[in-house]
Amino acid sequence: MLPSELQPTELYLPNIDSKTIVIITKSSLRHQRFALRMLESFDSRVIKWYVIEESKSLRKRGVTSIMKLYERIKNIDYSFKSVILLFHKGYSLYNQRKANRDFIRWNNTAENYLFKEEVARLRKKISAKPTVILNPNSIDFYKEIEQLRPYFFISLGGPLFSREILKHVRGCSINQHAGHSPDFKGDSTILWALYHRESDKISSTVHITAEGADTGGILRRVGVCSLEGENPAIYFNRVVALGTELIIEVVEDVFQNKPIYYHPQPKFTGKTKLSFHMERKVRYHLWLDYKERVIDYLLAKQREF
Amino acid sequence: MKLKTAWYIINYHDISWEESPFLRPYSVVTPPDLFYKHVQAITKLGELVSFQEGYNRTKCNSLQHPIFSITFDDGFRGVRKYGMPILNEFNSVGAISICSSFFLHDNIFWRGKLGWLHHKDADRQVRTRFSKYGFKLYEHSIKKFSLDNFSLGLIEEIDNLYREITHPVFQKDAFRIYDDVKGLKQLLDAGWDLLNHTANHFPVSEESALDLFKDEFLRCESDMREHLNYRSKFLVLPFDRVSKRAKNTRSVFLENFDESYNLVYVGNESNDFNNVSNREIYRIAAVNSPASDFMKYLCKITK
Repeated sequence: MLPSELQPTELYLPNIDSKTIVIITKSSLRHQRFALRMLESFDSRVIKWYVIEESKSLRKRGVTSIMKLYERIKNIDYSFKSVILLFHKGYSLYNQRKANRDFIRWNNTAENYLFKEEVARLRKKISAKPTVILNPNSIDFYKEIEQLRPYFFISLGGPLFSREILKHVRGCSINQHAGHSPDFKGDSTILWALYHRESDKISSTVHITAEGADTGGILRRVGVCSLEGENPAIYFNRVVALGTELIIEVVEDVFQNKPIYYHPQPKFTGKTKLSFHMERKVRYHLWLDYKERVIDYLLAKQREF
Repeated sequence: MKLKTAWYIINYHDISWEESPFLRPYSVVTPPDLFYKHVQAITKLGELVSFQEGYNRTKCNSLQHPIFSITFDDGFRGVRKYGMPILNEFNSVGAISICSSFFLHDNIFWRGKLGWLHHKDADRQVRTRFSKYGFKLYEHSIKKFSLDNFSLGLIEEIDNLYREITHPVFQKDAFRIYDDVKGLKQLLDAGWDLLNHTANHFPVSEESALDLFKDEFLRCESDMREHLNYRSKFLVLPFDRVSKRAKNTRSVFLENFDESYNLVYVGNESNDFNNVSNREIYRIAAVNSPASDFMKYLCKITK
């Protein structure tokens, strides 16, 4: 589906014989599915699959939060009022932690539920192995891309790519964004759409990769099949599955010389969210909406007119 | 959980990760993950067979255990893209009911257009145009009114408004939700059955469109023959709201179609030798709930 509120412009790509593809993903199951589906659909045209290794600093973060808690307890005023306030704060923190735990559990379960069997099936069929990289904006990586000179440079979410990389792509760089651009760009945008109770914006956007986060011309954008009673992690993972299929469609259209339209995104429209914006409190309110079945209500309302 | 020995036809519409604004109001899209779980659960209750095989076995009165067939209405592309590989995993095939103006990409489902107009915040314009057909703001909902008061004039109003507010590039792109001749030929090659679902998906079993019954099915049949070289003897009623079904639907069918044809209802019933030999086939509308709940529902309605 095309974003109907934006003006379509025909995209002219150079017509060359060797239309090769380079894929860049992270290592999670949904990213693996993305790459394996590309490989299944385009086989030998995919000349390289890179996986960005993610750094882990959870333990350090845990120690920091214990230190912070100790600092707080040390300076507590133990009057009656303060104890009551402290109790409230403690209870609220307890709930926020519970919400956070639920989100982590949902994410793990949803990804396994949706993709585990399919990825196992695809792995049996496809022998290609990824190349692990640490930094996609390093000079070594530039050089590799310069040598490969792919026609398509296809990525799933992930980091921003510099102009140095994108200029070596002969055809088009395409990114899959799990969110409704231009309204919601950046990180955790499915959760942000739900937080703002805009259930019609639980969408996947496939766009031309630009230097800004999710700002390139839109090639496809469509809402995901979201059912009542399901949690936000299911919606998010379905959005990723949908985006993967939309990219495959766009690339197939190019291979079949069908006309491709892109929709330039208006500047200064919508919101770009970064990971630190998704605070624990925001998640907590989302969790409450889920528990109170507000999301179900919104989905049901969308179907009435 | 145990079911009586009968032929059960479970009916879906689209199988897809996406839910376009054309379909969203009607809850007709089942995500592939849920469809997979449904099929898995169905195979535990009985044998999964093709539509034609189910028909043959029931007509020969040779059923020995519950058998299931899966149908998909309206001819959506997601059926081939996502539904077919899932059924292949279970060594089975489905049947798809097609409307000729959709697979020829001549026209989009008129209710889909209404969903789109709602998405584009054009309800006000729709209400204004419907007012001459008796629409009242606080009494009616657009969705229900358009079906209860169906007429070709109403369809024209929807078409005009759709064309006025939709960019031609978008209108063309919107057809991607439907499969085309090439895609349907792939299904045929894979052993699927194609069923006749009229040319335009008008409510031909209701009083408002009963006079279109014959023409709509014959037009679809002729298009299927011309473009797919295929002839279906199963006429699948669009909408088929039991409470609104015209009393003489069956007599119109018997008057216009010879003994080789069968009429396919929704009805939420199972099939046995009696109804099949009477040229009546019933289907059960699938619901988008977890597989275990759906199976319980299935047992409950077919008791």
